[in-house]
Amino acid sequence: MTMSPEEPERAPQRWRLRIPRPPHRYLRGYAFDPSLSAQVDTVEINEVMFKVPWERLEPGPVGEYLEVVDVDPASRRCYEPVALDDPLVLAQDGLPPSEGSPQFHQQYVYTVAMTTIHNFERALGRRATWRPRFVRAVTSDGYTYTREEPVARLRIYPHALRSSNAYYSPEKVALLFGYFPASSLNAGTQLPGGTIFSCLSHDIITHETAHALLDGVHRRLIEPTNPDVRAFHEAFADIVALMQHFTFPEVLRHQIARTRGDLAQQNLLGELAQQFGQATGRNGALRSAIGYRNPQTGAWEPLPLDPGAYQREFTPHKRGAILVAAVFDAFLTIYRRRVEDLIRIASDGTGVLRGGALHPDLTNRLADEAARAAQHVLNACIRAIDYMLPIDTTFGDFLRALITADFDLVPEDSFEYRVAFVEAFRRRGIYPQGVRSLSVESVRWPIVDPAAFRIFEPIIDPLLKSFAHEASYQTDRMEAARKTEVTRGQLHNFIKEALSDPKYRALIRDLDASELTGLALTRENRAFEARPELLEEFNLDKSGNPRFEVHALWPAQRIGPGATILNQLVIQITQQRRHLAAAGRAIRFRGGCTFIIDLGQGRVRYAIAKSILDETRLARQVDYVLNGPPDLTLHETYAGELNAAIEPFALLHRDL
Amino acid sequence: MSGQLNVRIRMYRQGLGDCFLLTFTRTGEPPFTMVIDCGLFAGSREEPLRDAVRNIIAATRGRGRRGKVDVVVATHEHGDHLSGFNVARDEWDRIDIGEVWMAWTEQPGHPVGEVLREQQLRSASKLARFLKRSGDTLSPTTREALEGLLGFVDDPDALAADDTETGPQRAMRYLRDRVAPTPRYCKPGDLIELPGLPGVRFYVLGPPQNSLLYAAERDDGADTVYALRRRAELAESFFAALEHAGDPGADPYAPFEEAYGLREEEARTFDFFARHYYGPPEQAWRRIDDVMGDIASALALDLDNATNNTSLVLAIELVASGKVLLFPGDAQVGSWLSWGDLSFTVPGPDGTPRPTRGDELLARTVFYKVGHHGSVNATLRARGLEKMRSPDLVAMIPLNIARASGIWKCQTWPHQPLFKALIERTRGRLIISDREHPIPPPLAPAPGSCLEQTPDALLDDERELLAEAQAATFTVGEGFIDYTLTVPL
Repeated sequence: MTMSPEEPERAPQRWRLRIPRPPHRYLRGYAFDPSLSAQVDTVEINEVMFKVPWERLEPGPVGEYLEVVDVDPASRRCYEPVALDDPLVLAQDGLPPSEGSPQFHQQYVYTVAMTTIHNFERALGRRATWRPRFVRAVTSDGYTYTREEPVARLRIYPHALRSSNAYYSPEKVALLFGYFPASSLNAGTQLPGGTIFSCLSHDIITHETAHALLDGVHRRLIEPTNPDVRAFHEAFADIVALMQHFTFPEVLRHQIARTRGDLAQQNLLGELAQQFGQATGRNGALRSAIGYRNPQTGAWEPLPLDPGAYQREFTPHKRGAILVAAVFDAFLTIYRRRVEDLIRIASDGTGVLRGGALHPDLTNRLADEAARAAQHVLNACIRAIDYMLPIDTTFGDFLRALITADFDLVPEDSFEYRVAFVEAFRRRGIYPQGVRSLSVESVRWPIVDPAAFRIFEPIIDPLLKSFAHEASYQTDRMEAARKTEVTRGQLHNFIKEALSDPKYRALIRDLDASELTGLALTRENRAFEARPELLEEFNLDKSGNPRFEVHALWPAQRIGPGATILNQLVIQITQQRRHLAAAGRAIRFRGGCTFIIDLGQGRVRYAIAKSILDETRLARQVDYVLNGPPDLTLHETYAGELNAAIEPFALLHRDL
Repeated sequence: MSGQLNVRIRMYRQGLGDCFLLTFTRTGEPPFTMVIDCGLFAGSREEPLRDAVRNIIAATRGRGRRGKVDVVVATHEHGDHLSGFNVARDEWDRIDIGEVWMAWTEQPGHPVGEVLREQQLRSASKLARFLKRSGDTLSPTTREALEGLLGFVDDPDALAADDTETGPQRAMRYLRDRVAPTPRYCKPGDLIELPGLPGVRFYVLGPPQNSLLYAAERDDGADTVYALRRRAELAESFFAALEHAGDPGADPYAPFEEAYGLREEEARTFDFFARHYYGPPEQAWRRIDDVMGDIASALALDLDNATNNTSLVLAIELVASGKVLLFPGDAQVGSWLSWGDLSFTVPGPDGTPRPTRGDELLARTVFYKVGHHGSVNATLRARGLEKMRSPDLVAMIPLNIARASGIWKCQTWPHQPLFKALIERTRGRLIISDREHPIPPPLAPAPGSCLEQTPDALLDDERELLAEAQAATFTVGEGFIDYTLTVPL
């Protein structure tokens, strides 16, 4: 018997059994994008079942992290929101994949963005937050100030642009996806002139969501103070998208079987945005971490190792590609190490597999190892961002952060993962600055010397006391965000209080705390004694000390293999100077420090600094800001001047 | 050959636009004259441009009544380079023209040129109409971008009114009709020597034939016509949205069957959109009504860039001295990057053929007409300016600072780092055509500017150096500035 809507409602039954919340919601979708469903050799693997964390959803979908609002300004249409909690939809694991149904598009952007968020949270060990909104506010006595307002949900517009573009807008805290006609001249495997939706590409959605997540952690990484900053944003987003490919078991097995276990050969896993690339006439994926299509011969060739590229490429995508290739290279090395015994077993000890198809058992085992290696690499890359500074970052910083984060969680490096990373970066000419050698130990950020603990005690002790009063684990993200803001304010006060004590000021001067933390919190500083005029570049508080900002503060609980648990508190303190450069332009120069506090021991473990007093770094930034990198393309220089401040990613992601 | 060759480069001061008169004089011979461009940015006062053309007549007529220009060079289809052939046409009719030189892209029937012209016409008129219709609802930045970008082509009102021909296209047609049988269409690698002008060679450096678009971005071998068609196709889907606004049934690029969509009026009362999009004022900051303007200005930018890169680029060599005068039009990255590898075979001093590379011409450049009014995007640094290593380098910037700053409020005019680099390279021997400011005035950001209030970019001693160097180098008149060099023949 079926229920009909006309049937009168009965009084709700009281159940004695409580049904537990399901851990997951199953949703159908494309593994990559619709294009692979139209090809015989990939059709069987392209529809996959995604497992996203369960949550109650309003139509939209509107959930805890995301709100999909389907407005299409070009067509002047709005598309009715999909109701994923509708039993009819729930019972069939979401709407079936369809290019023609806007409701499936809404479901798909939700699915992929949630998957990315989930991976991100698992690696970081805390809830994801988005970039806050800055609102001008007026106090009761008429004083205007800028208030930070947390933004609960990232908004997603699946059909925002009639253009071959998709981007993350920090200003609107939104993802804007475009649609456009496939080339009628050379559409690859696509229907010439058919509509291509960027919101149906796993890779594009993941890439944009990763931008938003990274921006939520380090909102100043969109300030291009050196050529690596923007490139890092792009590379990070690509790495997340690539590594997420390895979470689809069917796809992984299929591709392992096809490449006979050699993932350095052309395969779908190492390439990004197949359909977008085809539809825009590239004869292949938009970007690849492993190979490229030789324009002369039209044949696929492995990417040559080009150690000079880092000195030569300055456009964010091309420079970012160097980092992506390095990370993927490290992944391949790790994968090969993990499977070398399997290959030996399967090849009677020769290490050379016989021709023909792999045994399905071997395929499964190789796929397992690839998935594990990929998960590890993805986690390491995401965790690394907690060990970075929120400003002026470089690829070298990222390498150091990655190695340190990995060391903290997995002290025993049995598969030599970290060596693989250092090696892959070195082969591409990416060296961290200020390290003595390229051994893993010297690349790791140094652990704070116990002799310096005295610098932190007067601040950390009251902070940890007040922090312990708070429930360290908040289930409500917005509540947690508000609490964090309060704690940031408290920390600011603790520091000010400590600094009001002349004895403490003398202590930090004598221990030269600036050397360790990169901060200049008081006038009593050796740098100011040597160059008093320097103080004028700082914004001073009432007592004449340089102002500082508790830029961010968050607890993190990380779980490593073997159930190691790491409880940490990450604090970022930043400062800025207004420096008048030679050409008369005022340059905003930032410095700061990321403190990582081991909550188990109550001690500062790392102080990762970029000094506000570093004149060499300042000179580099001045040169970069005034002169730019040599000979950028028009898109870059022009967009830089015109639009970058408002929509930094809009022109960057334009395809044609 | 012996004797001397006197070359006078006259930059007119008509406003934001290019107009140059070159006069080559050999002892005892009638002068040879050449005009490179004659234009003014849309909406500027036109009288100074007419004056410039009258001056061309006066300067070239000798004892006759009509002016006589041996070669007219029309670099590219932008109003700020060509509008004079429209607004001062009656004056131009009084000038005898020997030859007209244009880029290969201007040759009628050439597939690349045809696509470009068709696209310029179609896109410019549609964007202009969009600007007229929606101007008030656009954000100031978008509006400014769109007005400014279209203004390089022609006046937006004129573009909106006429979809058969743009102003610059009309000017090109006029010039084509002025010579028989046809203009000379120049390709990179061409070497032009004129019987009437011994001792001078013209090297054609651009526009490039393979990398007309952003060379650096598109190195995947996609050929130019394809890329242009593809771009036009994408633009078309956007224009369809403008044309069929609100009628997806008629809109060939509507993404879904009509039944799927709610009209805006319906959506406003639909609970979900009322709550999450249209309704509460605190939602306003996340709306995306302005994306149409963003896409429109991006299309206009593409349009301008493509046209700028079709600039005919000439390196004029004064053979005996080896000195080179560089007139790049408004060529941008893609074009600049292609010059270095060009190779020309010319007879060396002993008469044997010798290859001359583009880089070598840059190294010997003693006069540089600064591209695109000294803006941020038309002079490459490492692969451009830094290759001009001659200690004799002199530069001229056709620019009206007030006008340019009024249109592009978020840029410095001229672009400061470029200007600084030019001072260094030329040792102060550079000048701006601006009647009031041959040296840039202290920076005072225009109202509504997004530039931070910054102190003067030029230090006092730099100003002094500039003023001294200018006085020693140039002859500054009311309507024009002359730079003269004399070389052995």
